[in-house]
Amino acid sequence: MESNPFLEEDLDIRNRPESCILVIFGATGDLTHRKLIPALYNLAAEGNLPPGLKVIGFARREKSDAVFRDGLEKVIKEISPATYNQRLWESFSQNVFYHQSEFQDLEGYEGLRTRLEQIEAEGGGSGNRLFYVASAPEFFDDILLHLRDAGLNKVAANAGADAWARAVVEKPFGTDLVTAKHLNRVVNDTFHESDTYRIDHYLGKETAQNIMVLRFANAIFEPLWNNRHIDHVQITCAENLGMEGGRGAYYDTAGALRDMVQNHLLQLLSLIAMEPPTDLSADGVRDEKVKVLRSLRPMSGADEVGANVVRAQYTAGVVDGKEAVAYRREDRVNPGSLTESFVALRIHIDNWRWEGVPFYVRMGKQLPKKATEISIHFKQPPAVLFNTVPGADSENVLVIRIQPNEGISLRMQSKLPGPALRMESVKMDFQYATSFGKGSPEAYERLLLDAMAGDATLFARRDEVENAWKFIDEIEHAWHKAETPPKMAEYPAGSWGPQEADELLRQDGRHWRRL
Amino acid sequence: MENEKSEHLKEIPTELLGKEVPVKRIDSELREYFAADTGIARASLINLAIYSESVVRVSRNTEIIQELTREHACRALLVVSQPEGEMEVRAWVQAHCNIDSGGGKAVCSEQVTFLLGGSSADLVRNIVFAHLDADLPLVFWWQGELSEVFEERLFSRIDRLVVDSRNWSDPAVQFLRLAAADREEEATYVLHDIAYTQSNQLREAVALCFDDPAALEQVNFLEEVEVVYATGQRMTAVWLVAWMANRLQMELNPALSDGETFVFEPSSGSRSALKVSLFEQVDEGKSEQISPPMLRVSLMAAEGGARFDIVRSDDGQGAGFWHLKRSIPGRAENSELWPIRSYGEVGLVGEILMRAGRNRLMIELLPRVRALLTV
Repeated sequence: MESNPFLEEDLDIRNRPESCILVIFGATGDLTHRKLIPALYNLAAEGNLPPGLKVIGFARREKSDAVFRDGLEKVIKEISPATYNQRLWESFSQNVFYHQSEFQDLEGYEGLRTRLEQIEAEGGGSGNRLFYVASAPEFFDDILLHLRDAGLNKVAANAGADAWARAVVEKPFGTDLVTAKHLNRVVNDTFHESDTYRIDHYLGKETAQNIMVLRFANAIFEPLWNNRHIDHVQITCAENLGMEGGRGAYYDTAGALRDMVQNHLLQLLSLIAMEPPTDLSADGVRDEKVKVLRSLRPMSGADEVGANVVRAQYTAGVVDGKEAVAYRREDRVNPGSLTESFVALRIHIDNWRWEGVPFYVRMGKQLPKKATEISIHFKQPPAVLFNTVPGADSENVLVIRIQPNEGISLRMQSKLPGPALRMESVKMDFQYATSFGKGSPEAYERLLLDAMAGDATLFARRDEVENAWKFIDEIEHAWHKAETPPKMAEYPAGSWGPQEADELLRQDGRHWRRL
Repeated sequence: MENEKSEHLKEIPTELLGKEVPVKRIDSELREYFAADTGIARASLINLAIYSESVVRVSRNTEIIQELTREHACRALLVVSQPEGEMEVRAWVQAHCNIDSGGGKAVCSEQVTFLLGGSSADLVRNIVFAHLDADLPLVFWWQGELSEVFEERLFSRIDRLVVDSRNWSDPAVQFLRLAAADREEEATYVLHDIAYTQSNQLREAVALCFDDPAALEQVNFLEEVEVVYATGQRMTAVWLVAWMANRLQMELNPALSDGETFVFEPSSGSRSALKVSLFEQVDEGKSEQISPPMLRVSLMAAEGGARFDIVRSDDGQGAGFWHLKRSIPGRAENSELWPIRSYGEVGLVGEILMRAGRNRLMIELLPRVRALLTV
């Protein structure tokens, strides 16, 4: 019997996750406790985990299986009190194990291999293995190289013909093009690219996935989706938090451009700007996204970067009614830091569809509210009929809200009731929460299932990562290596960013959309 | 006759139905309702018509609509038809509001309830079609036996027809009637049987049993299946049996089968016959929400071979599980819990609305089900 005759396409149209042993490196870390294990447990509670799934936590601290499980149970009770069920937890946790080892210790990996073989022999498992690298980034090389040296990058000799070994790698994928290439080389020396899953959790969000549906499953948008009808595009990621919880230590080495724009926001931009893929396969979609990244007009030299990119740090101010300190006075931030907490970019995509259409991207900390949105600003209609009518200067705007309050809205012009001809902008608003009572699944739930199913559509491919870094590196070099780098602007915490960012659009006769 | 009419009305808890309004005022009443409160939003993705010829279902159907609208915003039309009564049309309007999942404003779905006395097919059709939310699909949940009201000019406008064969006195006859309707060119609806939907998770569970290579090797050696179903759930068991035969590409041998034991022969190949036995068992004291249709499904290879069991198991705290057990010679026994999804009508109809699609497999199974019902 070649395939399971009882599997149905009708019953579950997504790719089916296959049973495997999931090994998590960095098992005592925050990501494992706050995101990965809760995501796995929620999947188990919804009956979405493949049967026979085993989880092995790999970390340096000395722990027994029981202590590891107790720690996870405590977190599950705290994070998911509604779904916690003691009997279900017992059933789930009997398949969770702990393996203690230093990341640099080859013997630890050989011990892991023995343990995997033992579990597979006992349970008659599939022989599939999924290695999730969720440790601190400085250990990525060690983990991947030792996996290879221990022979864990290949399926066991006695595994079935369809068995696989895959790796999921958490961000950051390097800190620049050189380190990204190095990491990619290490990853691909260990796992084939088709077995490598680079997580960008933004792509797991329902609204990010809906961008392709909106564009390609509706006949009304695609004919307008080009430079004949679209004036410009804005992508905003606003956060109303600063460096709470000691985050300054990491953030001050990264900055807004590398932390958010290089990965999440360029991914969103790719989805908005890409051509229709030939199919919905992982490579079909990613091929088109890479073409967008390759078409980004590079910025060479400090002058060009200065003309198209604004960087800034927040000064003291008020956020959510509370006083906020300046960026340089934040905990674990260098008082003389030259790391940006805000960045705004004017990006051009040099291809036929987008010639002459600027994409304005901004990301900032300590802004007035938390919101990630994409807005498509359409061109004005010919000014022959209503050009003298009050209120006629407003453009059509299609807004895709990624978070929070996920949804889509369309702004259009309408006549105000009354004898006089006056126009006003009205908004048609679709909200996920209103139309679909069921909440969206957590991004990690979706991405874990996809990795088990072998569907890499929502994961970044090597050339995507490297092309994104290539674009970002030019800007970083101008900021940090040029003789006369563009200046660091300032904005009060709780404002919408520096005046220079407003000026960036004002030069083009445009303004940032008010969120 | 007057007394008879009053008796019908007494059985209907009209206080649950909102405000009684003249039929021609329904739309304006609803508009006024939503205009009066700016803190609420009206939402609708489908028209959901529930048709029942039983007045005793009114209160339960109102509860069902209220629960369904938490996840499926719709315009709900509850049509209570009394074909035998005197000609009479009454209507009530109300809105079911829930705080949206973002914790923001109240999102409301409308319910319009009609009591149709002396109702004919023309009256039902007119009432339903006159009160649909334009451009939205029509899901028509027909409760009970298909009557004379179910005719071409009604079903030709339905996008999804939901029936529940568990409640039919003679499912074989009713399925024949649906088959006749299906031959009409105008019948473009997608058919859903709640009894089949109820087998969704069991079918998934059976598939999961064979998800690893060692288990998959055993499929060709399966010789016997036992299905223990709860009283009143026979149709779900029948759907499950039809499905297994379909997936294993086996054909019913009517000569060796009776109403409770079915023997299937392979369509091709050399595997042995499969004997499927159905057992009814009274399932006492379980609430509708967690009480699934099956108590046990066992798939067994020849004696001494592999055995796969899916057994219902409750934790005593209101949660139910499927206990999946795989026993394969030479392997350690494998056992897991799988949370049972809701088996109430709300959960099942919600699942139909959520999955949408063409329901191709169920349609493909219909001839097999009819064959099993006529053994």
